[in-house]
Amino acid sequence: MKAIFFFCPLGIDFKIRTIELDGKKIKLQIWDTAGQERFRTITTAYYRGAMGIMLVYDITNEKSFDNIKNWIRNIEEHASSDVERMILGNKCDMNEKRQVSKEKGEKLAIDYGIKFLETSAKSSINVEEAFFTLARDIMTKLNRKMNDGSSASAGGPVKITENRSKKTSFFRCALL
Amino acid sequence: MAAIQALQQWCKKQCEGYKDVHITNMTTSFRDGLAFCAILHRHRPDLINFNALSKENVFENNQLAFQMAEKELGIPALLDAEDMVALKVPDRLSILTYVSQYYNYFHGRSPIGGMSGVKRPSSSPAEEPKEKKVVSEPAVPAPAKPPRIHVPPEPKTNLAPQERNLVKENPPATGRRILVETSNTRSSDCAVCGAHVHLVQRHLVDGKLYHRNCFRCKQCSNTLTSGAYKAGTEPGTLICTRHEEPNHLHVFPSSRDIGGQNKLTGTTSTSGIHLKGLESKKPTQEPLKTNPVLRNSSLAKPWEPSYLGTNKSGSVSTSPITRRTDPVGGKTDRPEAGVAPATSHWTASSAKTQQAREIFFQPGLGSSGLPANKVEPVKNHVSPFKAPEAAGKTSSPGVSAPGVNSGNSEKDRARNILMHALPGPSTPGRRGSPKAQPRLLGVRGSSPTTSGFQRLEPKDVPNVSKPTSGPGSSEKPGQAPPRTAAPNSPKDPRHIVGTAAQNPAKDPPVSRPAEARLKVDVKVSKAGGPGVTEEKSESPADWRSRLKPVGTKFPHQGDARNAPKPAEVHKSVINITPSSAPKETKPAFPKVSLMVQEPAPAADQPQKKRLLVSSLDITSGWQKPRPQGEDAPALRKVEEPGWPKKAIASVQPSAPEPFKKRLSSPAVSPSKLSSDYIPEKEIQKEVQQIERDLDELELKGVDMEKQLRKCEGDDREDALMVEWFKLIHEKQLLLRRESELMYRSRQQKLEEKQWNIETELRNLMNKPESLKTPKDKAQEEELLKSYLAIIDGRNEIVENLDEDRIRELEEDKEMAALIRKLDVSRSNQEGEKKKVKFGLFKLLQLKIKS
Repeated sequence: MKAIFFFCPLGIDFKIRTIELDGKKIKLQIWDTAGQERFRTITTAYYRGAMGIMLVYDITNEKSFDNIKNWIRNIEEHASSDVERMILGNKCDMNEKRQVSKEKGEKLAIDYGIKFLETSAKSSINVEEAFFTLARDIMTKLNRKMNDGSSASAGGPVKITENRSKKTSFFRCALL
Repeated sequence: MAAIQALQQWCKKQCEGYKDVHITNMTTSFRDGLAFCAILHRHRPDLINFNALSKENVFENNQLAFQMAEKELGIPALLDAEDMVALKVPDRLSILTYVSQYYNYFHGRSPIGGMSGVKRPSSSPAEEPKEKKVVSEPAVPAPAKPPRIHVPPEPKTNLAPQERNLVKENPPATGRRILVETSNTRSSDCAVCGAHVHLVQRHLVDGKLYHRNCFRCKQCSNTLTSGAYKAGTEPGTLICTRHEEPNHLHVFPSSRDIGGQNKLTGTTSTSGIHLKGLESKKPTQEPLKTNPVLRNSSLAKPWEPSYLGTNKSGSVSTSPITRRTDPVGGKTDRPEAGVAPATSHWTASSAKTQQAREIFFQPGLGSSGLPANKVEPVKNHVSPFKAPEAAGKTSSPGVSAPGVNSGNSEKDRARNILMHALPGPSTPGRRGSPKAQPRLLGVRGSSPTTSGFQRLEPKDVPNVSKPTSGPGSSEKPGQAPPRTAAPNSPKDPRHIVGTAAQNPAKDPPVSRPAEARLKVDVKVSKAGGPGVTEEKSESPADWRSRLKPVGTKFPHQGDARNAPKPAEVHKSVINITPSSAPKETKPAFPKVSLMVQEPAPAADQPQKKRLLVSSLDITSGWQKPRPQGEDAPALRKVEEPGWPKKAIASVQPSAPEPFKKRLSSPAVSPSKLSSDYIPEKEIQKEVQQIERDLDELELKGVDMEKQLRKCEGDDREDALMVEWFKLIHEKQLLLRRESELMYRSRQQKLEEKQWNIETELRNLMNKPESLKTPKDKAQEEELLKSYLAIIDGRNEIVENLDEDRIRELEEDKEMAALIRKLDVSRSNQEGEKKKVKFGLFKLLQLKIKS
């Protein structure tokens, strides 16, 4: 279940993971997009089809946290309007270097009405939970839509885009 | 029976109130076509002006209904209007099946084009089951009309009618003969091989019927997807759109451009090269289902750049070759337009009607038909004659003869061989075709030598061992003549040496790494340079190992050559080499394998089993071709973005560095380490097993169909139907697994390729910005494009899989319900009529879908 990217993605990459959620097998196509400015034009092209987006900042890097707002704007501009979002504060294993308090992160999430979790990819803290949470939210939304009458196909693809706003993304910037 | 009655009742109800439409049976009541029109009109009054129809116009009525249903509703025309005219009593099973599609459609389900769709079964002389009720009218059938089969398969059904018309206008004489012979059977004949297709073998796509084993890409042997295939350059052949289109379209313009520059001189090593290049270049992003037009447009962009790459790498040796390719390309691209040109050049051979048969009959023809093939032969011939150097070359390359044949040719050859072995009605056709082809070739080739060589080739084909020069050799000759002595001489020696002794030390550093990797199975290696990556993609395949060392070497050598040459002339050229190499290698390999394997099966097989023959072809070629196909996508993606010329130039110089790095580092791509990873060999193995199972199932199915037809209308019918659908379903499951494996294999190759590119790209990016040369930057740009193209390709595969999965789920539900109902109905014949009806409909649906 865990694959570590030793580098930040070159613009974009994706992995497929199948999880079981409430007794259903769900295939996740998880896109990993680079936060670096130079890849911006590339990555935005992939927002459109995403059903969920994870915004990841680095709790040891305040700037990455400040960037979250920009990312949210970016999403609003390029992603579909009903995309599920989530904010993650990564590297929570490095508490001694923390620059962004958990409260700050939670507040931001509340302001936008988005779920929030602090995670550690390195220590595998909350990573799985984050994905399950997002996947469940997506499924809930899908089911609601289906019940509304539109006869959506039974098992449409679920796409999650993980958006990292880290800048120093080399070495273990992403995991899952 | 009950189920059938239910369907009839439904029809009757739909047609109530329509003038002159009375449904009293499932045969003659439909003959005048009004019933179809009425059903359509009832649900879609906008499609048909029913009041304007007259029951006297049997052909027109049927034509209208079939076309409308196909074009507007996506219901494949299982029936042929001509048959409706020709047969006083249309085939009942066919009508049932076709009408069931209407039923399905108007119940909110659109038929999914599939293999089990039943096309009108017609009585064919030899194998076909005799149909009780089918009586052909003597004079009525329009002999002039070529069988539908010949029409180049077009993803877009819209074009079909036009194509047909065109075909009618210029049917080759030989074609007519053949047609006449089989006038009654045409509709149930395979569009590719022309042999009768039993229901269980039916692969109905876009209104055309194929043997499952025939509906494969000529180049990569992958099963084609509806909407994602096109007519091959050779009549009666099919190609994945992703390889095929770009080649033809682009080739023409590109060749010209290059010619102007004099860069073209080098011939593409083999036609295969073009194809491969095209394949690779072809944008993977294209949606499978896009209209041809759209594809073309989309392709055009990627094409040009890629084209350049191909030319450089392959180097178009002689102008004649390029010309040849052009006409072919035109045909393939647009069937309509293609017909006219085809007539001029190819007409005889290319005429769609004969295509398949002629090909079969003539070994040489098959190869000639393909653009790639044509090119190759020409090249080979030319080289020996023109240049003394060439002679030396040819001798050395001679070993690799199989390489010469393009992937397409392989199948044809195999078929040809088989055909020879089998006495068939087609014999008359043979003669005509062979003659025609040589001429054609000569004309096209323009070189006198070509004719002689071509003839020789056919002979070679049947024989397992082929004396003809390998792809590498062919390239050499082509290049030599046009080019000036100075550049040629250095290159040629290399080639020769390389072919004979593998790689000479002389080869540029770039080429070497690639070769070395190739020899060893490359899966593990991760190439740094662009060239390397491409090679790698190919390398993983098992086929390499299988291939003779010579064959493998050839492509590489060719690359090496090309690279050096361009370098001499143009700096930019160098980059291309990597791309070219893969192309070359692909065609050569498949050919080789096919050649060897095919002859044996042909001899063994009884005439009767055409099925077997076709299957054999596939299976034999199967392993090797496939890798190609897989490779191709990867290549495509890499090249897709189209390399700017400048960028290309920059790439090469830089390439060496990455190579070294890579070589030194034993890194293994993460994809291989993944627990999901299935070694290519195992995939191949499983696929082969599936093929065998499928062949077995089909044999069973053929018998079952005969039984079904015998008991048509009696009590056993429903019970047999259950068995029948179970069998069809079983087949469906196998096919699914197969396609899943194919996707898997492609996916893995892409992943590996991605890793390679990524590694290289990271190396580049790690370089301090200030130290980067413009070349570095350009290369970075290119690599990034390639990288993104791979990502897109992978994503496309994922999406395809998703679509398939969803559809399969539905199919499974239907199937389960159907079988359940039928079983119930069987046990309670009288009591459960309603259920039976329901079940039957479901069955019919399944049939169509599957």
